[in-house]
Amino acid sequence: MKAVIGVLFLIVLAFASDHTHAAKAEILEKIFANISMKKEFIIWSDDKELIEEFDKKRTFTTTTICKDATLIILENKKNIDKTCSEKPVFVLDYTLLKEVPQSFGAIFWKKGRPNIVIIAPRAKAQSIIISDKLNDYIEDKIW
Amino acid sequence: MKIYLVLLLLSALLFGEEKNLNELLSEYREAGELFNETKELKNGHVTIFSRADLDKMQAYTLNDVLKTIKLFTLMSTKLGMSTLVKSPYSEKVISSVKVFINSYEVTSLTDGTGLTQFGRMGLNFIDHIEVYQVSNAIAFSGEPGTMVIKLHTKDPSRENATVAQTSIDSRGGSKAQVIEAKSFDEYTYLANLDISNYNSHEHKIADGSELSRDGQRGQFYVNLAKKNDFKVEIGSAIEKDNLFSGFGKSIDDGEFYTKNYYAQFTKYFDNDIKVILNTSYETVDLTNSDNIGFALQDNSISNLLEAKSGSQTHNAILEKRIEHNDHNLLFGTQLKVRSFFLDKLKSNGVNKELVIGPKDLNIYMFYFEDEYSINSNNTLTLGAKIDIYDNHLTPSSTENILRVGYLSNLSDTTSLRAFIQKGYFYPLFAETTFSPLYFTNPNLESAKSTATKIELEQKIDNLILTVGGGGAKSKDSISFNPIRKTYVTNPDSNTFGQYYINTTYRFDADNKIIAEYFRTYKEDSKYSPDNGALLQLYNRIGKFDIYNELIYRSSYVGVYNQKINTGLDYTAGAIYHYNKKLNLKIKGENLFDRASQIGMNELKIAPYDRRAIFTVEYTF
Repeated sequence: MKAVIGVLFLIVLAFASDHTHAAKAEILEKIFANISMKKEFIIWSDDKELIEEFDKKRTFTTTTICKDATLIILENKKNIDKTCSEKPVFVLDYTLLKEVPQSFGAIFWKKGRPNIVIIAPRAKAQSIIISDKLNDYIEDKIW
Repeated sequence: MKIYLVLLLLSALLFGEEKNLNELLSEYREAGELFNETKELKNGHVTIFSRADLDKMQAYTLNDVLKTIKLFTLMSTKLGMSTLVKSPYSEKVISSVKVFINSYEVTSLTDGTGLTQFGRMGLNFIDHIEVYQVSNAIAFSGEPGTMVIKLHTKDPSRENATVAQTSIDSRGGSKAQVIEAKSFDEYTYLANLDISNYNSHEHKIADGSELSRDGQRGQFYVNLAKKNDFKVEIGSAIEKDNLFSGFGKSIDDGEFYTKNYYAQFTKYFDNDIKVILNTSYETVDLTNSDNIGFALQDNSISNLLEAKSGSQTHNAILEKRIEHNDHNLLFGTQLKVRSFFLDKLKSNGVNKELVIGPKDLNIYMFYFEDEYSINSNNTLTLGAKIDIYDNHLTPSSTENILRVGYLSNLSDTTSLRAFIQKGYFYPLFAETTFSPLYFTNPNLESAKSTATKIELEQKIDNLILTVGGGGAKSKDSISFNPIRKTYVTNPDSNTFGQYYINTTYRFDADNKIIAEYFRTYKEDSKYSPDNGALLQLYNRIGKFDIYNELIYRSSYVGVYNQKINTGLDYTAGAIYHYNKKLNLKIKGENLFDRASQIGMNELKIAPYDRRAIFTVEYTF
């Protein structure tokens, strides 16, 4: 029974962290349920907790090989392989929208709240169709 | 119970449909609230004001939060500021409430506690607030306190914005705030500027003199950090206020002008070692002109008192954590060096020589805490601390603190938190070193106290029911002797008891209701409300955030034998989220104009007036 270390703080932290990943995954599922691409969704992400959440629910097919994916969810620009740089990307940080040309949408924190934005011209350029249900989150350009 | 069944039904009807994206975003925000990462249940019975709570409350100043805290009442002071008075004690008993900004303890040597001078502190740069009652006097640095208020600054990686906000109020006051918080690679920074101009109702006393607490305040805070490596923080606050009642009974004119600066450096080393170094400097200029005059400590009458004083404080803290089997051990040491200076003291235009106690104080602290995990549901915390006080004038004194804490998850829905703390309260600066009005007593010894508190929390679906209670016994408490005109040690012991009940019903991530009641018991006299209640309603309807708050405090008879009526303070606010960049806010404070009062110069004064505040917030 090595280090059960019931430091309640850590338990609470871990519990809260699980909730955070689950909530983020649920939001992304909702977004992707309202967009369509020419190919089936096969998701690769450098956010491993997110992939675990998708795998738990089996909503989407996921892959550990970036080049097999049809959609990338990116947290850190350094983690994307060059062979995947032409695939559609949904980013987890607003600044990545500026840095990753193939990115068409983002979920990010601003003013202490999570936000969603989808850049319509970029989605259109990659033949991604956005449902009207996401109209509230559509922008024409990056701020 | 019927009411909760109705609430459950309402909740099911209102929120039973499939969640839309906005609701999911709110749940994500709630799950990611930063207090989940900072709150420590082992450190006391904690009340949390999350980022979302503070936003909906439109909590512009620390006082907006302090007034809601159970077992205390926010009251006005004679010098125009406000302080928390512990129920049912008199306002003359200075509460050992400690305020921290992150790990920096906001203190004012000239005041004994940082609370009084920082009630008007703007909260624009604060993410969330944790209020610890029966707070851990070991793991929280510095001298012991009965309550610790921890203000955690916003996380720049969650902000990524520059936000400007300006307010005007119905009394002619105004406020402007700008915050920028950004992250780049592994580094983050936050800068906040806050300027306020506040006007209050002027109270007239029988002889025609007016009590005014109008003033201006400017504050600046900046931090630069690298995650898990270091954090540098610099803060300053400058405040200039009318002196309100002042020391006498017929104020003619007066001003209280304070400047406070601090810098703190925190370094985290790989081997769980943390080092904190900080330094602070403050000056206080006070001018008090009085028509009748007031007696100084040498019994001379002053019609015009001018004083310029200040202090410097330096702190070094070294902490090491060790995880060994089921033990999480904390070893720490702290050195605190404080010095006081009096640059000017004039009465009626002439330099005045008064008796001053020890100007310097060094405190050497050594502490240890073992957080032992009995099993996955039970944790026992044992802590001990030794503090050595040396003022270079009277013999040094050695004080000690012992603390036992027990946390238990009795079931998936029931938890228990119990604490026993045996400690001391060292005499305050105003009691040992300097006051123009009375003789200070450098030979005072610490008051001793033992506090025991227990709290039980039960979750029933969306309802959290918390019941707590306990008591404290103190002896050798310090009290003012008006005949000897100084503070003395009172060898009698006294006891104090309390209980409280809190229910929080959460409809969803944006909608909740909180109802709370407390009652306190003290064996002898009561000089402030002995019971109180709080009702808070947080709502989001479409593009509106709506907040309602009702604070009740019981009637009481004050130290000057004035009967003070029941306090009933109603606050309401609404925020309209016009678009992603613009928010419009309106808030009404003390709408019934019946907030709990205090007797002063034959008047009854509330700590804040009835007023409406209109605010525009723009995000760049």
